[in-house]
Amino acid sequence: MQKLDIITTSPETAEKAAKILCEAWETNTIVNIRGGGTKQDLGNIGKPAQLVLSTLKLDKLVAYEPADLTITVQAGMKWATLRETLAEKGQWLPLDPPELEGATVGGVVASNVSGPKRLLYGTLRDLVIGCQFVLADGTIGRSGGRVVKNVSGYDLHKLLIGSLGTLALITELTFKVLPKPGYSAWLVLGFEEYSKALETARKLAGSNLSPAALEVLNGANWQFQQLFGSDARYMLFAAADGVEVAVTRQIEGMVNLAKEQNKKGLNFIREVKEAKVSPVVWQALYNQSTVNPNHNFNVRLGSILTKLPQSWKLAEEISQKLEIPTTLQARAGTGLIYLYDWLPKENIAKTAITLQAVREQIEANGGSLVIEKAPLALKENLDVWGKPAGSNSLSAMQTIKQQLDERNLLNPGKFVGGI
Amino acid sequence: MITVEETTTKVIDRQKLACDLGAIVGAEAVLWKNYDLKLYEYDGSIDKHLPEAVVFPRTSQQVAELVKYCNRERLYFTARGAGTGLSGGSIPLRGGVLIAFTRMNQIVEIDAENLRAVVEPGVVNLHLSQAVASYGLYYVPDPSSQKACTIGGNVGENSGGPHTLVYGVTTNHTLGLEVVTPDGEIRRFGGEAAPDAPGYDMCGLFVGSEGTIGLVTQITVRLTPLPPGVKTFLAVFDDLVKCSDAVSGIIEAGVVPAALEMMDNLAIQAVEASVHAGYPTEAAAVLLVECEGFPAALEQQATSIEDICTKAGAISFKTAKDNAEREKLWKGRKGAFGAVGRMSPDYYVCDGVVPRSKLPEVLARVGEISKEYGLSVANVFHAGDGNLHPLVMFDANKPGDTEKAVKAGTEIIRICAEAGGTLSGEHGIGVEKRDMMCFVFNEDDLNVMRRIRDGFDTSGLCNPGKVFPTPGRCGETRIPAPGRAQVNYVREGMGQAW
Repeated sequence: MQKLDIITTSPETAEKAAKILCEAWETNTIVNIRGGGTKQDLGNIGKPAQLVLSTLKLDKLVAYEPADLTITVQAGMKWATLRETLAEKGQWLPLDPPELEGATVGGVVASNVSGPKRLLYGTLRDLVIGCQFVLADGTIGRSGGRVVKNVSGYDLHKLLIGSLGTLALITELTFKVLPKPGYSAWLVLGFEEYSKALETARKLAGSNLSPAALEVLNGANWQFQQLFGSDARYMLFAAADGVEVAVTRQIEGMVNLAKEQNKKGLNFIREVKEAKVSPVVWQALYNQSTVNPNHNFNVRLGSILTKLPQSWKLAEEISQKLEIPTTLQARAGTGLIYLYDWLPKENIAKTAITLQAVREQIEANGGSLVIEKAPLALKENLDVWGKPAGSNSLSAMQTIKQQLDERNLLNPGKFVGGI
Repeated sequence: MITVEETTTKVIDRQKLACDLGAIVGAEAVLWKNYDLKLYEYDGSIDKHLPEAVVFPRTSQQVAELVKYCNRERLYFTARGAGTGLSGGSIPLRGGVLIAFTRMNQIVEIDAENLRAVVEPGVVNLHLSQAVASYGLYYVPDPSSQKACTIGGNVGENSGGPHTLVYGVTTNHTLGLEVVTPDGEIRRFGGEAAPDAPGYDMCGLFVGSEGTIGLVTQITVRLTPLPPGVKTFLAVFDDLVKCSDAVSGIIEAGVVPAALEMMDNLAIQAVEASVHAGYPTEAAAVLLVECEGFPAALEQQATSIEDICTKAGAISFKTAKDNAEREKLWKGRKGAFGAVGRMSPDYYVCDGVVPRSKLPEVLARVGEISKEYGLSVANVFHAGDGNLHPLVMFDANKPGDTEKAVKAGTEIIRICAEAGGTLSGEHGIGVEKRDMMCFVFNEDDLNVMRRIRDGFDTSGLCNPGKVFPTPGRCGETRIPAPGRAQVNYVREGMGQAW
């Protein structure tokens, strides 16, 4: 393979970034946009970049109006810095993605990551209200604004969320933020069967108890016995956010509903204030992807709530084929299952076949199977995305790519359908 | 009334057109006589233009065929729901075929277990909430026109409503779309309620695109559990600024209620004269507050909000004791536009948004503009979102009044933009505000958006003349007068506001 010299450049302003991209455009240079580099595993292999455009120097706070509950930052600002800036005023951006060292705000947006509490607060599409970006040809554009309600012009920022740097360089983002909830608590429920745990979660999601999170974990890599003194095989972690009196009432309601749903088989109930959740449990809930350094394999299954038990069964089948204990975590009020594991080289061909078979079943139910992290050898065998959302939609997505990056210079080949 | 400058350059044989369209949708689903078309030349805004024909398709396939036919015949086509829009989004600005979705009005599926419903675009907003109420669910976005407006129209405009303060607007509740793109293809976007489906967020792009890049033929929406309890009350103020201070105070304190609506004296008087909601007519302003949640928590939240209002100078509170009283208070708010319509022969609704801390100063400026132009302005709006709805009252039969009202409205929107806000919070840009887009976007910003539009609407036939300023016209607002040659108003200093 021909070795390419990769240059890295880190502009401090959108204008400088525009100049760099404009030059790249004129020389047909393939550009990889990079934030903190924590999500490099996402996406297909794609064409190798000749230029890496790093956002790390685009790290400034642009505007923060606590009284308006809005904040504007440059895209290269560290996610942790954004969080701290808001925390100083008792506020937060209600998104709780895995706490990855070095992750940038722009990277979080471009990879559309989220966390357990998306159930209550939504995902980035509900939180980003404005954006400045630079197209591959160096055009600087904007969409949205700095107010919480806005229908002026197309919502281009929605296209950029999760676009993995294939449409534009995001240079600036405006979010709506919230005051931190006065009180947060978690309810831990132990189950013998995953179907009961998932079913209970679905009932909670459809109740008026407004849970903030509903996570179901299997015990593969978590010693529930050690942590909780329980021999439950599956745990449901439910959260409630708000004022103390409401949270207490919500947790109470959730316990009652869970008991009603499970005359038998609910073998553990505990309530814990969020601040008192043990670090190990916190890791289990939030940082699965980093908890085991050996994990080189991470799959996300999306389905509607009633199909979630079926997807879980399929996820367990993947795990059985791999013959090693697999951590499964369901975002059970949302319809997602995450699978984390270690994939040995000799298993890759077999895994690719298994995944493809599972993917077909899940897609037939209107869901998706996305490989978020995998050894290159697997990616060479299998498209990480699967079928694009919807039907007859890929050509519409290609139209967007074509209109914004006609020469196909931004992260080519990494995205859905070869985009 | 206002007619708009663009007309189709093509001479169309209407009878042949009707015949062709009838072959697609059936003769009973086509209107083509002037007399019938007149009903479809306007919406809730002040622009109008006659279509060449109106068609009422019943299926997505028919819509696709209509679009393909229009492409073959080089006819403009525009989508229309109930025609309640407030920015001219469904006005067939250059004639052509108006595709009205009122007969595609079926709720296709209520899937309560997965908290979703599938609806055709012509379903009336309120009908969906009524249909799912027995499951303990509702559809959150609740525009004031919800008794009439369609969900397809809501998707086109990305409509809001009083209860979107906490829960978000139409886009936040749209899970999937079926769309006929301007090439006549039927496409489905989104994950139909399966989360994080691979690909670009096409639903996010299409919601709020005002029918300029496709026609929505089916919508999968999110349903939300009804709250366990509601508390609704009215805080009464003897001063408008005190009232807007209270709004800023509530937002800043982080006790965000489910709805936070403000009305000034003129709006109160209009409401009391028509729907008798029980608002004190001598008040300078009232704040309609609704909290949702568990009864114990509701009390706490309501108490904090009352405290903030009292500190800001509220003179009294009126709490709805039961559902009937609650509905009465809301009837006043939701019927306010109509009430103002009784007070003045015509009114012009603005939809500017400002950062919430800027409400007091912007409202004061709106008052000044009202004086400057000698036109009454009633304010009734979503205070919690900073989304103003100044209703500029005028009389279209009085020479020069319409132009004056539009000018005053433009001035108000400019002030919103200058305060760091935007042109429209929920009504859309349409025809009305297209030439004001440069208050908030520069040519490059707009060109990027145009690229998206051009990518889908390759032939330029899909809802022409909307959203984007006519090239070189940014800074002008064209206001043709009735029955006369159009008048052009060139505005000074209409540069970029930020």
